[in-house]
Amino acid sequence: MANMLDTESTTFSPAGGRQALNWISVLLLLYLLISAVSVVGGGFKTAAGGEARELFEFASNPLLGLMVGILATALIQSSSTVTSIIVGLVAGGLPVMIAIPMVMGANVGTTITNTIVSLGHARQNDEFRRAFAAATVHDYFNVLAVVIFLPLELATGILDKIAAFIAQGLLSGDPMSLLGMNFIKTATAPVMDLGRVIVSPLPGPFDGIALVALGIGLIFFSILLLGRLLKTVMIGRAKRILHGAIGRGPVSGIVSGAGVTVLVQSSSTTTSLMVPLAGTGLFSLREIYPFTLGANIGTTITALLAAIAVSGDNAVFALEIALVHLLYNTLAVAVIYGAPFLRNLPLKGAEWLANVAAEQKLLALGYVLGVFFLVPGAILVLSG
Amino acid sequence: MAADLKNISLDDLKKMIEETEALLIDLRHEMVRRIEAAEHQEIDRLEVHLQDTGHRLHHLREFLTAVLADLRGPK
Repeated sequence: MANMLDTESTTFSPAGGRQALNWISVLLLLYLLISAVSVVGGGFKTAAGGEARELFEFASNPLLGLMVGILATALIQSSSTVTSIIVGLVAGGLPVMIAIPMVMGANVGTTITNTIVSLGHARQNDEFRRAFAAATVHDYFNVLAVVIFLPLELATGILDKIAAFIAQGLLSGDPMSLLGMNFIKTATAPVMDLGRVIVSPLPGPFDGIALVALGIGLIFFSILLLGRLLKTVMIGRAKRILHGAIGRGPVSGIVSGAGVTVLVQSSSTTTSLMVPLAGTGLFSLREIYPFTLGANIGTTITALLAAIAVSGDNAVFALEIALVHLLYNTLAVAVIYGAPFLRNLPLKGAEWLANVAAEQKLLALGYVLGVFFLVPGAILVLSG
Repeated sequence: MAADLKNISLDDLKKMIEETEALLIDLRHEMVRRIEAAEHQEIDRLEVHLQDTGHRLHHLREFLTAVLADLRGPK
């Protein structure tokens, strides 16, 4: 009897209730996220009419698309947010080929967060050197991935072709819904309807523009809160995953990095966590490196989730761009980490830059401003 | 040392090498064990690191303070 009472008091403890509330909030925020992607898609379709391609004509130059992706992600500091917005825009008619360089740019832009975190270690030279190298190894890897895969994609369209093949295969008999999941469209319809009611006083195309802005706001809000909540809810599991990866080699590191990122829905969080761990000197750069690569793969889950909710004629393209994101990051890890001569380039680059930055700390600031803001901004301004 | 070694029999030399190699393996294992134990301890502090990563303005302030200190030079 006493045991039963104990069990009951555990089951209905305030902590248990808080946990349940957290999980309900996570589900509600996921619902809001996938609904918001549909809102962006619907708004963009309304605003652009049939002229989505013309609206993004400036980004049909892949270099500019890449810079848009870098700059937008560096400003928002969340690649999940940017890729979810891109999925929404593709659902609204943005061509996949224009969106691909933007997704690649989002990968590069997101590395600013852990680089900023590493700057906080500047008081101790050796600690800063290790922390800055742990952060910039991600930058070097992502830039190398762009250097290899963007020209390859432009020449062959390989990522798009594979993604299109998988997306079409995943779409069931009903071409309007993923895996026949019409219920998602029904479930997300209230948010879309509410959005349309809110913007209805505006004349066209401003109603569509306002709907896009509303959708972007909702994506930003839901991913921000989701990230904060998941950090609290998932910290125990993340610890267990990281504990399990110690001493098990690079593949385990990649899988763990992906796992932790899926749990917290943010590659920035995973890669930023690696910075202080490297800064202590207990974790070597070679140990940290696979975790950051896993984060690249894990972060693609958000855009995939976002693509699930998309319905209509462009559902297949929305899924296609989400799959391109997954394929790109997975193949980049397989190719670059798989080939020893490529694998060591980010390590060497990061070590070199960290040594320079530790001696001349202002160069570290110049690097952050230059790579993430000045160069992309200048290219966009000069080309415009 | 070289002269001492010349007085050691071949069998003893082989035995010493085996013992040294075994000791080296044990030392390596002990070193890895200690490093991994320290890594586990650091991961146990993940909450602290997670909280720290959220304070980006604080990181920038810390950085600028360090840069200014460097520019002023050693006192």
